[in-house]
Amino acid sequence: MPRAILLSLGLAGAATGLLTFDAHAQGRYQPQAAASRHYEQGESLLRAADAERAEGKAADATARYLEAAAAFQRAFEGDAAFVDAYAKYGRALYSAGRPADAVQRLEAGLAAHPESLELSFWLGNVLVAAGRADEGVGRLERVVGASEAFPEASLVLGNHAYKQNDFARAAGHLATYVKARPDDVNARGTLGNAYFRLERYGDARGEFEAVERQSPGNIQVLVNLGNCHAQLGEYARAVEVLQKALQKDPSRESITFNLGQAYFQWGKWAEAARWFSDYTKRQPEAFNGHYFLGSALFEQGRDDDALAALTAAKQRKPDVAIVHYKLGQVNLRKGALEAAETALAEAGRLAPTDAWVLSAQGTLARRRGQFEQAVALHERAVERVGDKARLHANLALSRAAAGRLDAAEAALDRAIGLDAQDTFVRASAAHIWTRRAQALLLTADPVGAEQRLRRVLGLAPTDTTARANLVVALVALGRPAVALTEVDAALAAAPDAASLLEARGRALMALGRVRDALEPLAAAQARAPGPTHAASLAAALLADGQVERAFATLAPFERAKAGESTAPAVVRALGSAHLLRAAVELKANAQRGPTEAAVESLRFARKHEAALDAGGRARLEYLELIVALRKQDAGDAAAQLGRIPGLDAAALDVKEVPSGHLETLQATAHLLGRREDKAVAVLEKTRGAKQKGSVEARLLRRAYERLAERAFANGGLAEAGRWLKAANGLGRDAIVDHNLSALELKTAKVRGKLEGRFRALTNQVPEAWFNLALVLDAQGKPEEAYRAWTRYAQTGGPHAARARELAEARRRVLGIEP
Amino acid sequence: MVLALGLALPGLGRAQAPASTPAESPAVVVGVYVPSVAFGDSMARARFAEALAANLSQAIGRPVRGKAFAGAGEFFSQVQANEVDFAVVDAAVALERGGFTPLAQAQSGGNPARALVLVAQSPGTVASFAGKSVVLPEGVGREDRFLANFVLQGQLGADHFVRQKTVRDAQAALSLVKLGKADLTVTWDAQASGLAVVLSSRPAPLPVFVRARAGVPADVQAAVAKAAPGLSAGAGPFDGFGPWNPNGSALSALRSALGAAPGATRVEPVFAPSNGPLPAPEVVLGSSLSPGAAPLPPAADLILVPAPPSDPL
Repeated sequence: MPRAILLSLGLAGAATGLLTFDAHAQGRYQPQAAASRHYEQGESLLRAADAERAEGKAADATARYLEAAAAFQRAFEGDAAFVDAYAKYGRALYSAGRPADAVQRLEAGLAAHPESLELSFWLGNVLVAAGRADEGVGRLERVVGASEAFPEASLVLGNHAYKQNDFARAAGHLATYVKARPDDVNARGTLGNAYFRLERYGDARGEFEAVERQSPGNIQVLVNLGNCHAQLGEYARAVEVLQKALQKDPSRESITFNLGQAYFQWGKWAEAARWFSDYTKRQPEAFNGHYFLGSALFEQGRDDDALAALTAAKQRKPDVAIVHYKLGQVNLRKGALEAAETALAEAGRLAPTDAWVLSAQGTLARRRGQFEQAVALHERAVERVGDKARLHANLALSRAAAGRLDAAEAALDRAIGLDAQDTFVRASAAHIWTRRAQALLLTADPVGAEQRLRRVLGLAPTDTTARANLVVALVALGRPAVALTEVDAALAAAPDAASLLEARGRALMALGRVRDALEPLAAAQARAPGPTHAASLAAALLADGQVERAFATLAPFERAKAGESTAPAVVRALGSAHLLRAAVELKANAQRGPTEAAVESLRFARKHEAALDAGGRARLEYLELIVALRKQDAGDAAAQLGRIPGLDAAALDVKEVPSGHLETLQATAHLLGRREDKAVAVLEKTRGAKQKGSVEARLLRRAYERLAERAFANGGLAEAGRWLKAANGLGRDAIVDHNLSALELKTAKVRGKLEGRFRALTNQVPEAWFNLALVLDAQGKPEEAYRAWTRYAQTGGPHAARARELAEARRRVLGIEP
Repeated sequence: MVLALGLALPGLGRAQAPASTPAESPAVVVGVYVPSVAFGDSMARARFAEALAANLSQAIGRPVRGKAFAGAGEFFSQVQANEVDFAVVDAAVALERGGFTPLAQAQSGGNPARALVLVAQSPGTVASFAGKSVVLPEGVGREDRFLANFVLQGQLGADHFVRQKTVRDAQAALSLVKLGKADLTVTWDAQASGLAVVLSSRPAPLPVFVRARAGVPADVQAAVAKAAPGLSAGAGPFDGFGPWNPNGSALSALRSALGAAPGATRVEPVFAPSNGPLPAPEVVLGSSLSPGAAPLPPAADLILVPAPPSDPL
């Protein structure tokens, strides 16, 4: 990201190198008298000139300096060995702004006194001042190398290097000088600037603070110091210092810009935007103001205002790629993908190899669902610039969007390796690792999921969602106790976090503490109503046997909004609730046919069977078989029976299936389908078949009875007799008793004793009336027979028509009165 | 034997044909042979045949000639010779003799059946007439079965009465009883005046209108088949014709009676059906789900994925 600091280029005059010091004499020398008088006169004039310059009388001072130079010239002309006169001559002309005039005399002096460092210093000084730095700099460096007695040589060299933008050399010379002359605020100011240019902000801050101590209130120093603080991340101090400077000079617009920068770097977007806005009002044509205002507004989330500011920046500098890039970013965030494409295309045109532009174009493709294209663009970006963590993180996001989570994690690892603290990288990591964990849970790899979720939590240890996610994984991992400890600790800090409450409920459910789970699950649903929380609560309610409350919990989410489908978790919970309701209804109404509620519930479950798990489907098949059997629907029962290979206790969610239960269901279906032989084959193997009164025995007796009936109808009297005896062996039964008597009637010669038997059975077996009539008729009691047949005909039994016919015939033919 | 009057009927038939009917169209012949009906005399039988022919001619729009037959021999002889196209015969004839295709059935008050009665000169019960003589009009040769199985409904053996030789028709049988030459006869209840009813049978099927010749032209056959159920000619126990229903209860009973050997019907004992409701199967599922079976949303559903960050600047 480019930075722009409106850096004050040092203290006024600091770099001009105006020397106010006196050169040091090299030992004592006794000049000739005349020369000495001229020298003293020159010194007097020199002092007067300094005083006039100090008073701001520049012209007078210059004239006086020239007079002083003339006096010093007379002195060394009178005494050619008078080195001090040469030196003061050079100083006077230098101060008068005519250093070139001094060169020749100083060279002559130096020729006469080649050992004089003082003359060498002044010659070097005036050469530099006269624009002959190539000659002067070497001479001055030799002076610096020869003696520490001329620190000003370092000052001149430092200032000269600074003006040449050779900040490293400037900083070295100036630091040498400042060491000898720590109170020289001008030199320290220039040194601070040199450090700043070298991005040695800590050193720069030290110099500016020294200047501020010695010469407080200098606006330029305050600005520079504030900028140093900002660069060092000391934003509060930066703002404080810059505002102090602004108070001193409210008209200086650069300070408002620097304040904006300080806030911008601080991440205080609103304040930054306020100062940048202030700056743009003062400098409406300045590109930087609009650009940074747009940047701050973008960060603040004020997309439309950001677009306006960035557009203003673009109008001022249409060829700056980063402006188009940021316009693209704003439009991306707004969802204005066409506008984003236009802006990013322009950015790409201006900076075709810019990795950030490529990355943004990748993001655009990702937003459009063109994941592979996005990945390709991001990969080009990281190929161009391989050491930027955010570019790798963005590549990871697109790979994740493309479903390539493995590759996404690889790119993410690279990003983290480059900058693990970057907010974008960390946010990307949280997203990708969580998605990966989710995918691993779907593929039944909770270990891998836990690993990722712990990493996410490491990024933000206090994040309740991350903690809840980890707890969910721990429960899936079969470690509910650990999960409970984790979640309880988190809940202590965030007791109302719905995700944590949900996770706690899950952990308790996994521990089998259904009642305890209800409270947190209900609280989660109350705090964040939604289909997932509702489904979890409903599941716990079903485990607690509260079927109707489960329905009430799910009801608000049963009907999806238009264009949406009901959440699968809700459908699954509803399916289970319906199955449980059907089971309860069928258990409570064992002696009746299936209730409408049970049938309706099973219909719902069948309609949504795809949403059920294996257990749910097993319970559905089982209950549908029960319903078919209760409805005595032979075809349906046979079809249902064909779908059930066996009864799995675990799938049916029972501890064990009672012995013989499956066989009774199978036998009942066979009996409904008139497959008595199959029913007998199934039942005779059961233990219950030998226990009189058991369901198995009752069903088996029914099968025997039917077989006897069929044999009798086919004339197989002996076979019928065997089946009846077998039935009789399973306990006395009126029908068996009756049919045994009927069989005897068919074969017996003596029928008298049968009359009593049939008569005794008439209360329980209607056909006893028919056979009683037959016995009576045979005994020559047609009137009684007539009445018995008539009685039977009134029962509507299977032989009623025949009985009615027989009775009527007797009435007609034998004249029996009804 | 063909009645003399019957021989004269063709002329009557032609005389009553519609004027528009082409002269060359052969007349449709409809015969009448119903010995169960007491016409009183030959003329009455002939008038019925005449009326029936006129009625049918009117309905089908072509000449119809009626032929009345007093005896089985002549009737079946002419049928065999394809000289009778259609006929009205007793139900037993229609059921038992081959070659007849029923098209309509006589009705009485809209009912295709009515009671037969066992009549005598003096009142009594069936039991009191045991060993007495009974005379029946000729039929299809299964008079014993008819008497024992249909009239007496198998309640008594065929030997309960002494059966005399059959006579030509009901008129003759009734005359014998009235003259004291027979004790009992069976006739339609409508023909029992002057005699005591000993037994009133279950409803018996009335005579049937049949197609007697297979070679009847299709158009004639169709026209007659359509017209026959609407014929209004009546005689003795019936007052017109209605649709043929082969599954009518009286027809079924008669068919069953004629098909079985004569004598008291043996009634067999019956079994009580064991078709009551089967024991309701129990439900072994519990009233709540175990925590492990509770339909909690999949763990993956609960993972809240943080949104990806905005594009880095």
